[in-house]
Amino acid sequence: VIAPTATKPARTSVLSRSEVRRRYSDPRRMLVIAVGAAIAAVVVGLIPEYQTYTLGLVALYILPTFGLRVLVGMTGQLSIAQGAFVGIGAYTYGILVVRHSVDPLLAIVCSVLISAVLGALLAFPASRVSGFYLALVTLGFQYIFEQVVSQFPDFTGGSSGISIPPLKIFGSIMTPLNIVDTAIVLVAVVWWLGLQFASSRYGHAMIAVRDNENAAAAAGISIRRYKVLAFTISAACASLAGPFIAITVGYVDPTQYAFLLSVQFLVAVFIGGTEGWLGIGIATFVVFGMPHYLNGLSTYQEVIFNGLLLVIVLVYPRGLTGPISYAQVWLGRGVNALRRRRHSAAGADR
Amino acid sequence: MYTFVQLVVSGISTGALYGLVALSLVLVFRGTGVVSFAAGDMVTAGAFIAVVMLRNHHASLSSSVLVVAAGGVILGALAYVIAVEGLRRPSPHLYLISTLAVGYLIRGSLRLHFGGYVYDVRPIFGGGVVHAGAFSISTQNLGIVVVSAVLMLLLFVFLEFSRLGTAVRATSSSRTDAELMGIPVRWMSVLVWATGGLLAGVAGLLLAPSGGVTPDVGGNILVPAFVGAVIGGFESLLGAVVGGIAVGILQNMVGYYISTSIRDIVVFSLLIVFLAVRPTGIFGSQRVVRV
Repeated sequence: VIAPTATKPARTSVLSRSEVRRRYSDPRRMLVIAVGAAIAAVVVGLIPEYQTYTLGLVALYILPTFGLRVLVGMTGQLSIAQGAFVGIGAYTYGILVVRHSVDPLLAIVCSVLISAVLGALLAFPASRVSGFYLALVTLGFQYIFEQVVSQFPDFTGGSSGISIPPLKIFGSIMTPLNIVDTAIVLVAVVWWLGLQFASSRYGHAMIAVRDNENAAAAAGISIRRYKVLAFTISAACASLAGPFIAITVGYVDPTQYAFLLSVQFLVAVFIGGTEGWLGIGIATFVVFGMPHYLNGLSTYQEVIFNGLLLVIVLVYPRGLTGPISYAQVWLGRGVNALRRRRHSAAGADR
Repeated sequence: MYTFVQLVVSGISTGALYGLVALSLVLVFRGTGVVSFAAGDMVTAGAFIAVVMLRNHHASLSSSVLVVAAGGVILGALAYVIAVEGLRRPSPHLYLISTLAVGYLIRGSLRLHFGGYVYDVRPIFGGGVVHAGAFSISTQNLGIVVVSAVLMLLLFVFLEFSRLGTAVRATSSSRTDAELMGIPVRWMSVLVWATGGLLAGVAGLLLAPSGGVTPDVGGNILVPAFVGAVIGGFESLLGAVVGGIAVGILQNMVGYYISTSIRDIVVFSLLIVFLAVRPTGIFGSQRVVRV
């Protein structure tokens, strides 16, 4: 039914073992991210207090999007269940902390673990299919989550949900500003881990699975194992954001983690260009931040916004990958020119 | 036994609606290789056209059906042009996004025009009940089953016995070969999407009187329709109809004999179970590779 497409040229550049090792242990990587996070934290401190609430939420939404980026960008899989995994994180936290008075930090760890296990379980049926069928499997998961959450009120609070107390750390309550800072730290850590992962042997194996499953299998890579791993990572990233979103909003209820949220994560990944981290971060701000600023036109909001996303996907199927790589090349040229100038100046001195 | 048969009968009428939408999904998928996530919102559009015709203009049933069908055809064709032809670099992932976006555009426009209110429509087949021995069925449910059956039969006759229908089937089985035979495959794709829109729109019209119409009604019917299509194997038109009806009956059974709270959980689980264990469904042939 689907017309056979021409074999894609391999996108993976072949790197020597030493080159991989050099990139893997490049200290500049961590430095750039740390400096970026510090700048972001300072900028956030200058922003008016009332905006930090939205900003915190949007920053937290970067985590699930990064998780989805591992799944979509590295293994070529697809998921419309990312919202459900955020919800699993939020609900697990709520149930543990409110109903069983578990220590909040322990509850966050538990919700990530539970979500990762569920992600791995979903991966088993999901790794048997691909394309539209994979989308349908994850769609099924998303709707099962919504039903479970709304149909078992004894367990999840039903449609009225559970109200979440503010998080106390070292005896003081976290303000929205603290949440934003926490989000920045989490995003920075996940970003760095993601880069490390992408340049590790596991990351390369995943990209091999994406580019050509047969070739990867012939090279001794277990396709099933890497697909399961990708789903697990993706779910874990999503559920890391869940507890903090629940704390920021102050309650969990079934409408928060609905189908639309999952679609928004997917759209953010596609607008961001599926393979860049920075682009996806920016796209998350566009997808989740912009509706907030369009509030003046609330009824028109949905139409305008979705129209806009459609246009972006239609006109730029590669998302922000293009513009960002241009920017990197341009920056790179600048840096190289500076280096050359310094080098020649040093040469003139000699 | 009596309850059992009553449950089956009312399940068939809900299932007929799922069957219509599943048929629309499978037709479009076979014809163009795209799963339309906008189908649910086309159902909603059909329901709102029915609201306008029946409530605001007090139109007759037959004229409403014609207007809804025309609306569905136009929407389906437009959706094809925007979501499929409009893509520069097609891939299943991008088709997913583009059809979802078209769906939300439809939903957003409806919400813009009609607001978030619930619209009620008078019963289109009268409010009576038909008795057959000890069993009874409301004329509304009977009407849904009859109209769906007529529509499915018309589609079958069109595909099997008309020249144009043969061209559509040829395009579905091999685009390249059809093109070499001089069939305008693009127009066939437009035709397939338009027919899909028609089926979804009429499903909306039939759905409108049972419960209020809101911009979200179609989204709620889309997932059971997907389940029906998957049970039928996503390849077979007959399978889609049978699968849809099976989902309707199953929903009633689980709701009555086990519990209403796990009714939809069971149905949605079937989506995962069937795709994982038997991706070819009940009617699909084994040669199909799920790519």
